[in-house]
Formats: sequence, C-alpha cells, structure tokens
Amino acid sequence: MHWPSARLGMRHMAPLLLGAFPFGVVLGVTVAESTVPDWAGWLSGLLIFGGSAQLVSITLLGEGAPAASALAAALVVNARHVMYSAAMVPKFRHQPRWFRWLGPYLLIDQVFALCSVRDDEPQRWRSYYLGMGILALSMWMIAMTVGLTLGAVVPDGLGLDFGIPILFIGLVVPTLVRRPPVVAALVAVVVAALTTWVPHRGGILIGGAAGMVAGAIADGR
Amino acid sequence: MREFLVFVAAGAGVYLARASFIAAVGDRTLPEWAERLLRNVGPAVLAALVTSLLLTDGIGSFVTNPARLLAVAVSIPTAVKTRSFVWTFVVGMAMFWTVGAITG
Repeated sequence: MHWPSARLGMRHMAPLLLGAFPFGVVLGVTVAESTVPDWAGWLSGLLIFGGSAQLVSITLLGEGAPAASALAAALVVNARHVMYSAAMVPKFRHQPRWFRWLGPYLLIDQVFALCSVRDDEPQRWRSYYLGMGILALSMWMIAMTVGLTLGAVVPDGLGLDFGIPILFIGLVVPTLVRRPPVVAALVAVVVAALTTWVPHRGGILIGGAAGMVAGAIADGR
Repeated sequence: MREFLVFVAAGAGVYLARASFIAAVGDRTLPEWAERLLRNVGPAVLAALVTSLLLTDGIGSFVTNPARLLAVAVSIPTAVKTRSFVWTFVVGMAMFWTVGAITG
C-alpha cells in the first residue's frame, strides 16, 4: 500500500460522498419503514454496494413483489457496470490477480469517474483506488445505519413510501443532459405506462428494454 | 430470509457485471452497439420504474390524489433546476405533506 496515494484517493472521494451520504440515509429509512427485515436491508449495502440496485430491490420486495421480479430489476438497473468494467481493462492490466478480483467489488460510479481518468504507476493507482473505495464503503454503511436508526423513530403515516418515486425522479432527471438518454427515458415512460397490466411489474423491464433500444438508436444518428 | 437471498443473488450479479471484463483474461472490449445500449440503462429503467410505481397499486391512484399529483408535478422541474435528488425529495415531499394537510 502506498499511503500518500490512498490518502489522496480519500480526499478526492470525500466531496462526492456529500451526495451519496443522504442517499444511504434515505435507503436506511426505507428499509426501516418497509417489511424487509432491518438486518437483511443493512446487509444489502455490503452485498450489493450499489444505491439504485438496493433501492429497487428493497422497494419491490417491500410491496410484496415476487423475489424474481425484485432480483431482475436490481440486476438490470446495474447492468451499466459492464460498461465500466470494459473501460477499466487497460487500468487493471498491470495489476496483480488478487486485485483484479477484489477491485471490481468497489467499482461504484464515483470510483469509476475518478480512477478511469487517473494515470499513475500500478501500485500507486491501486492504493488510490483502494483508499477511495474503502472510504466510500465505510461511509455508505454508516449512512445506512443512520437511516435505519432514524427510520425507527420516524412515525408511520407520513406517506414516506410515496417519497421513493420522488427520489427516483431526482436521480433520473439530472442524467437527462443529452438527446439519447432523454429519448430512452421518454420511450421507457410511455411503454411502462402501456404495460402496467403485465403481472409482477414486468412493465419495468419491458419499458426499460424499449427505452434502451430507443436510446441506442438515437445515439447512432 | 427471502429478502436476504434476493440481496445475495443481486450482490453476486452486480459483482459479476463489475468484474466481467476486468477479471476475464485477455483484452476484450465491448462492441459499439452494446456500449450504446448499456449507456442508457440507468435513465430507461429508472424512468420505467417511476412510471410503474406511480401508475399501479402499491403507491397507486396518483392521478386522482391531488397531493401526489402536485408532488410529482413540482418534483420534475425541481430536479431539472437543482440537479440534486436531495432537493427534489425535500421539495416534492414538502408539497405532498402540505397539500395532504390542506385536503385532509
């Protein structure tokens, strides 16, 4: 471990965590208010370590959707990580085998954004990556713990379940900066609205797939 | 326990997505068409999810419920303007609770 690089990684990650921390807190509150047991919801942070996949699966499980629907939706939401993985290949080429297996566990959006653009010799780059990844994971678990604690004291009947679609609106709208994602989102909304009759919330996957294809077509022009 | 198993499976799947190219031997890259599809996964699936949650029974009846309708209506421009999910949540829920308190 090259400690100065690890510390630099933590310093670069810290401001990005100001955005992730409230998300972790909301996720913890969501678990506390839902039928998902607190211990299982808390462990989802360690097991999945991905905010949108966790929120999707917790929301769907909490409203009684079948396990397969919750799982499928969580996996599809995080499928973009395949793209991160492909983009990181050159960076991992000179890394030892253990890190090629451990590193991907920490490959969240923020780590990808910072590490994919950083050039450094392999040991320093690895320390930079590990420093920020471990800091992000620790803060994520603390944020979820805060949320679970808050959720236990927040009274029921506030309609916090309605906050989840509102939160998702806040997550998706800021990503709509170019034409392809706008087309993808609009087509997804229309197709999902037309397929609400499909059982087990299948409309989410149908609408999502239609949106992806429409976005790819818009991207090709 | 059912929930725990879903999280284990989802965790394995998310890990495999992240490890797919890195842990694989060799130096493969994604074909152009696959990259174009994956780039829009987030916006497409999240937009479909919001639509499904708002239109079906779990959260349900949002069109006929003025508090919910106004909260959604105000949260979209808030998200556009602030680009922050924290502010979107705060403004949307403030509207939801205010209108809910007025209409009872």
